[in-house]
Amino acid sequence: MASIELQNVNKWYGNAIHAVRDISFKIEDGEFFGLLGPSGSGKTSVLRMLAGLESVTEGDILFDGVSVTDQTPQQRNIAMVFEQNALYPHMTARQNIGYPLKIRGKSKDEMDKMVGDVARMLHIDHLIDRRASQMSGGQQQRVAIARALVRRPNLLCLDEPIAHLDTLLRARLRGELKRLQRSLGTTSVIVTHDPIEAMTMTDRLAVMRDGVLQQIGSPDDIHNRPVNAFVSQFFGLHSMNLFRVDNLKESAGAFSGQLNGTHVDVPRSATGYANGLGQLLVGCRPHAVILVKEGETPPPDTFRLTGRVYVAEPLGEVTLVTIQVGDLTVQALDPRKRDYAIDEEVIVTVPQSALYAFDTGTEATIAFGSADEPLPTADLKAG
Amino acid sequence: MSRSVFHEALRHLALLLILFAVLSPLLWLLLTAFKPYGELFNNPPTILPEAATLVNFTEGWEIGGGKGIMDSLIVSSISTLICLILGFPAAYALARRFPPHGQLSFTILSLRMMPPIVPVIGFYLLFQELALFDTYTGLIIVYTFMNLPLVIWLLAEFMRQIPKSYEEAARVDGATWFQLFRDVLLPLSLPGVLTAGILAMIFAWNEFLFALVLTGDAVITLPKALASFFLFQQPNWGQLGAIGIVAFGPLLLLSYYMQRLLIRSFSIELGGR
Repeated sequence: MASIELQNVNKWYGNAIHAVRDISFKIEDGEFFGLLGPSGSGKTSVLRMLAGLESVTEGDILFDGVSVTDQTPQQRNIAMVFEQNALYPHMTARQNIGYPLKIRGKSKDEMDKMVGDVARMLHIDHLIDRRASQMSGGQQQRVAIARALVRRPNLLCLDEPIAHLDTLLRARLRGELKRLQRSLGTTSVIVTHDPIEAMTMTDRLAVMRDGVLQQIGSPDDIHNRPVNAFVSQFFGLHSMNLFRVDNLKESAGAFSGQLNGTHVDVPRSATGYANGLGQLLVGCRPHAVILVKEGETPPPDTFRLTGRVYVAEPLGEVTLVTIQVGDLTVQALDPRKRDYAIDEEVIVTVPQSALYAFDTGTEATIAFGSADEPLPTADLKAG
Repeated sequence: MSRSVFHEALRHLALLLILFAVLSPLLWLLLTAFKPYGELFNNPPTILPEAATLVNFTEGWEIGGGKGIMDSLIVSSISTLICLILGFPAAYALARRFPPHGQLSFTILSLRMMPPIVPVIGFYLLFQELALFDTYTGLIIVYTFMNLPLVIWLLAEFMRQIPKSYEEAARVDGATWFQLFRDVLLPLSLPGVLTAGILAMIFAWNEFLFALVLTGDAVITLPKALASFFLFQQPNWGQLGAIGIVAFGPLLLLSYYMQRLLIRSFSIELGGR
């Protein structure tokens, strides 16, 4: 186990592709760290550089304060679980799990004991003599995780380890992996494009876009205090709704503007920044939207838009309603069990306190939804 | 219903005719090998040997067939082995470090496209100077030179089909390059290795031109031995048939066993996906 540090790491593929741009951060000893981003954001390149499978074009990687930039994966003593195709097909599960021990010259008895222990831990002891082809995808990934955990690596790298499994299995393995990581205390990094995985499993995570680090923080930080519009849209169970408000005007200390030809009020928390901007992006999470049907009175002190229901999808406890406002699409989560007809007219209302505001140019956050939270300036990385 | 039976019968008849056309020379060779010398000139000819004998085999072995088979075995098996030992790492590098249809890949394969008659004079002059003329070493070098490009190219094509994640898993697990090759890459590319090996072996076994020009009395491979029966004496067709059948044997056995191995290793490979 070790603490990991990246110092101004850059990765170029050839001269054309700058996949990772000047990234620095530190992962504490025993931490479960997440790398999150859409495909092509450079998150996998960062993981592969940590593992030693990819060279570092520029910058330094330190394990416990010592540079490992020029070391092979073998020298770094890391373990990795791959997305797929990772089990040696010509070996049984037992041989697969035991392989790292075998090449380290462990005795047969020692190997059997260690393989047995880790197999029990992952509930695969009954599969131990099967080949990869005789196991399901979930079982194969369990074996791959067992192979990674059979020795005590400095760093456990997880490259979308459960992305290819079906939903139920994914949910179960998510919990198991988190519990395993906590009980073993192995410093771990998981790469994922699934915000749920990142949110549920990790202690802290880094959001990346086009090779640039956007934000580092706890899942709560990133969910509730995104540094920019991209993070706010990418992170979370449902994307943030974003509206562009033009023609900002001040009257009596508050700003209002035009949205799709409708007059709207701008969050008061953005007042200090809105001065002289002329336009800004207003955002809200779908769960903050309160839908008002015809004949109902809209709640006071809200941001309001009128639209038509595009489709309503019941999700059990809540209903996900998609509303078309002009050429804008707005999503709302309605906790009340109500029926929505297609093309029914509704008023989209958002409490002032739940509104976010972003700069239209840089997309940087101007104001947070839950009132007076300070900007996380320490972790803010300019895009 | 009856129509399709008729079609089926017609198809089988066509297949039988083709098979007969292809196999009849071989069958004639086999029958001739067991006939005593006198029976060969019977008029009308006998189909099955009337007085079957093994004398052609024993005599054929003594007058040069035995040496031919031994020399061919030595030269073709050693050159095949060298081809595989050198070709395997070269193919790995080609597969992983160079584009699939790049210049290097083409250049290597184009060496194999060269007609053998082109380099043979050069080899002859070179071998005279280097004292390699009429030696096993010389012939092994030439066969390696001819077969290596094909082996590299075939193996590289095969290795490109193997997902990189297996190798990366091995590197992460702590394997050295040698362990990676021995424990992961070789077992996974075994079908390719066997295919390339068989092809190299067959080419070397059947090769005639280089053997004719680059060897004398010390090294006489089977194709050359067979040809020499025509050159210097009235050929004894029975002995020729016997040697021919024996020459064919090893290839038949090799192909048969390799085919079974191939199917087995292919099924492991596919099962893992």
